[in-house]
Amino acid sequence: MKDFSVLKLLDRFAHLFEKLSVDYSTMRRILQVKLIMDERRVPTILGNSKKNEGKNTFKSSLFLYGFIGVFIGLLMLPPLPLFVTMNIVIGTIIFMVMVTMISDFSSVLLDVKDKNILLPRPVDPQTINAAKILHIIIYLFTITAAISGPSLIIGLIKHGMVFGLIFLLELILICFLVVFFTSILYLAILSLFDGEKLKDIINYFQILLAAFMLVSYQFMGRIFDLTRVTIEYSPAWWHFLIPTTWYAAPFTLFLEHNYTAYFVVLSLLSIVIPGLTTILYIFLVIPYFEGKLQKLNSSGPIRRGTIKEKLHRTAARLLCFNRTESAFYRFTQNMLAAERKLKLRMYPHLAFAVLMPFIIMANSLRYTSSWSDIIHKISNGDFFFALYMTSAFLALTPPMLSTSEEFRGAWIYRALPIESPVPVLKGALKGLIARIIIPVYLFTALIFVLICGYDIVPDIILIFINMLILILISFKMNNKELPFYRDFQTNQNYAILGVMLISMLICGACAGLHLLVRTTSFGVVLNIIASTAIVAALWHKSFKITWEDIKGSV
Amino acid sequence: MKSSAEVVVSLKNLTMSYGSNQVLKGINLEVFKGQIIGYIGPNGAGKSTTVKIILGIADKFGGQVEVFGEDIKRGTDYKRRIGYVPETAEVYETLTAREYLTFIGELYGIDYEIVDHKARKLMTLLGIDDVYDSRIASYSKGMKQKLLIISSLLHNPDILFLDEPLSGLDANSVMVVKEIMTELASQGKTIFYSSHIMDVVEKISNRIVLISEGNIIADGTFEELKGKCREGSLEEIFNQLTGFDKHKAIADEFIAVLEEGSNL
Repeated sequence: MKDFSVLKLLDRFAHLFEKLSVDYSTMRRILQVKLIMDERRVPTILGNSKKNEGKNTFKSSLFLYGFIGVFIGLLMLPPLPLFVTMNIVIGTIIFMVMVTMISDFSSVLLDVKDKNILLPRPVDPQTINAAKILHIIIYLFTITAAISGPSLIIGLIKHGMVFGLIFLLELILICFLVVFFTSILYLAILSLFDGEKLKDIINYFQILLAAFMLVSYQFMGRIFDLTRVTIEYSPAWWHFLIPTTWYAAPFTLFLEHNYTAYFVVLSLLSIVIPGLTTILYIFLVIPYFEGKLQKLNSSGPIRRGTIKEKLHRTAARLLCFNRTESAFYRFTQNMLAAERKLKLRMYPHLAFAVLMPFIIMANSLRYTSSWSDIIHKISNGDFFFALYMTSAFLALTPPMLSTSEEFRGAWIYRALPIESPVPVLKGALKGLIARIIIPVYLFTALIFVLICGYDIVPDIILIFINMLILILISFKMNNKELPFYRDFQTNQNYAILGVMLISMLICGACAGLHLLVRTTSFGVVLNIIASTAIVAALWHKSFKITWEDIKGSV
Repeated sequence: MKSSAEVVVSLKNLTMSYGSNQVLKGINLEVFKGQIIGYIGPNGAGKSTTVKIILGIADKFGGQVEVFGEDIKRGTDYKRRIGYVPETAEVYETLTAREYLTFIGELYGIDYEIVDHKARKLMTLLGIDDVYDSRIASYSKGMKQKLLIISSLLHNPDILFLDEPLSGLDANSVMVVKEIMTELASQGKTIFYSSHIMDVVEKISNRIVLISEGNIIADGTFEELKGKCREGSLEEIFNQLTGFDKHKAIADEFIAVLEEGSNL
C-alpha cells in the first residue's frame, strides 16, 4: 500500500507519541488510510466536470491552489506601504484557506462514519483523536503551503530573511485561528439548526469559493493598476478588530523598525489571540463539538409557508397547460432548491452572469479620473447593453438541468405512463426560467435601472425577450435530454462549444439590432413586438419532440 | 444449565437517553457462551442502542456493562474479541476491499500479509473476489453486506454482534451465512443477532430477547415464549407482546385511501 513522505517524517517522532500513550503504529495506519481517501476525494476547486476516478485529485488541486498562490504573491509587488500590502496578502490567504477548509475538508471534520467504523475496533480514543488532529494539521499545512508559498518566495526576494521567518511563524498561527473559527462556525450552526442546514451552509461556502475563483481571474490582470494608486495608511482604533492587521503589524515592526505602541500591540495580538483560541478550542470546543456532531444526521421538517406553497401551485397552473407539465414544473423547482451539487455547478455561473456586466463597466471606466465624470459617463452611456452578457450566460443554464446527484431516480421517466416527453421538457424549462433565470435577470437589471434611470425599462424588456430567443435556440440545437437524468461525472460532449459560439453570435446580432433601433423613436417597441413573435414561433417549433429524439436511454 | 455456563456479556440496569427521550429504561441481561441470541423489538425500541453501548460507540449511558467479566469503561482491549456487523453499511467507500479489509485487520493487530491472504480467501468463498481491488462505492448492496460480514469475522472473534446481517443477500448466500453462524455457535462463540425477519430469528436463535420501549418484555427459548403466549409463530408472539393487534384495521384503511382517488 502507498506510503506517504509525511508519515515517514512522522516516524521520527514515534517515541513522542508513545509517551503520550498513543498507539503509534495504529495511528499511522489510520492516517495512511485517511490520506489515501483524501487523494480520491474530488475537491471543489476541480469541479465535477472531469472523470476523476484513479487520478490523484488532491495533487491536481494543489497545483491550482499554487497557481492562485502566485497571484496572491503578485499582490506584494506594487509599491504600497508594507502594512497595507501585508494586510491585503494575509487577508487573501486567510480567506482562501478558510473557504477551502470549509468547502473541502468539512467532510472530514464532520465525519460521524469514523466513529462507527473505528470505535468497535480495539483502538484507544486518544489514538483516534491524535490521528484526527494530525490529519487536520497535515491537510491545513499542505493547503496553506500551496496558497502562501509563492508569497513567501516573493517576500524573501524582496524583503529578505527576516520577512521569511516572520511569515512562516505567522502562517502557523493563522492555521490555528482558521481551525478555531471553522469549528466555531460549525458549532454555532449545529446548535441553532440541524445537520441538513449545516450541509446547506457548507454548500454556500463551496459556491462562494467557486464563484470567487471565476471572478478573481477577471481581476488578476488588474493588480498592476494598483501602481497608480497612492494609499496612505493612518491607524484607527477599529483596526484592532481586524485579524489581518495583527499579522501585518510585525512586518512593519521588524522590517521598517517602526516601534510605535500601535504596531507593538497589534503584533502582540497576533500571538496572544491564536494562543487563547487554541486553549479555548482544546478545553471548550472539542468536548462540546463531539456531542453536537450527533445532530449531524438529524433533519427537521422542511417548513414551507402554506401561502407561498399556494402561490407556487397557482403559478404552476397558470404557466403550464397540462398536468404532467405542471408536475415537472414544480419538480424542477424543488430539485433546484434542494440539490446541493447542482447548485454548486450552477450558482457560480449565475454569480458570473450578474457580475460580468459590472466588470465590463469597470474596465471601460478605469481611466476616468473623477467621480462626477464617472457618474456622468454611466448615466448617459449605453452601459446597460452589458446586460446582453448576463443574458448570454443565463441562456447557457438549461443544459445544466440534465445532470443530478440523484440521477438514479430517473427511472421514473420510463416507468411512469408519460406519453410524450414534451410536457416534461416544457415543465422543466419553465421551472428553470421562473426559478432561476427571471430572478437573476431582474436583479441585475434592477441595478442598471438604479444607475441609468427609468428610461431604460423598455430596453430591459427587449433584452429579456431576446434572451428567451437565445434560450430557445440553444435548446433546439442542444441534445434533447431529460431533466436530472445523468451523473455529473459523465462527460459533456463538445458540441456544446459550437452551440455556445452560435448563441454568442445571435446574442451579438440581437444587441446590434437593438442598438440600431434605439436611434429611431418607436424602434424599441417595434423590436419588442418582433422579438415576441419570434419567441412564440420558436416555442411552437422547438417542442416537436418524441421519445425517440431524447438522447441517452434512462 | 445457565448457571454452569460462562457469562460473556452482562448488562446491569442499563439506561440511556438522547436528550429528553429515554431510549433504554433499565436493561438487565446476561449472555452465556455459545448462545445465539435473537434480539428483537419494534423500530426505535433500543436494539441498536444496546449494541452500540456494548461496542463503545455510544457513551454516557447509565448502569454497568461487563464483557468477559470486565467493565467496558476500563479499556478497549475487550474489543479484540468482538465482531460487529452494523445495520447501515458504514465503510470507507472510496477504498478498495483490499485496502479496507487489511486496514481493519491491522487495527485488530493482524499482520498485513496474513490479513490480505485471509480477506481474499473469504471474498473468494463468498464469490466476490473479482472486486477485491475495486472501490467499495461501486459495490451492489449484497456485495457490501458480504464485505461487512467478512470485516467482522477477520480476527476470529468470540462474540459477534449482527444487526440485520442478511439484508440484501441472495438466498444461497443467506444459507451460507446461517450455516456459518450455527457452526460458530457450536464452537462456543456467542452470537447476538438482531433482525426484523421473525422466521429467521425463530429458526436460528436458541434464546430470544424481546425489547420494547426500552424494556425487556420477554426472554427465553422460542418454546418458552410460545408456552407463555399460546400463539403459533414468533411473529404472532411479537405482535401480542408488543400489544399490536391493529394490522388488519390499518391495512383495510390503507386500501380504502388508495381507492379514494379513483372516485374523483
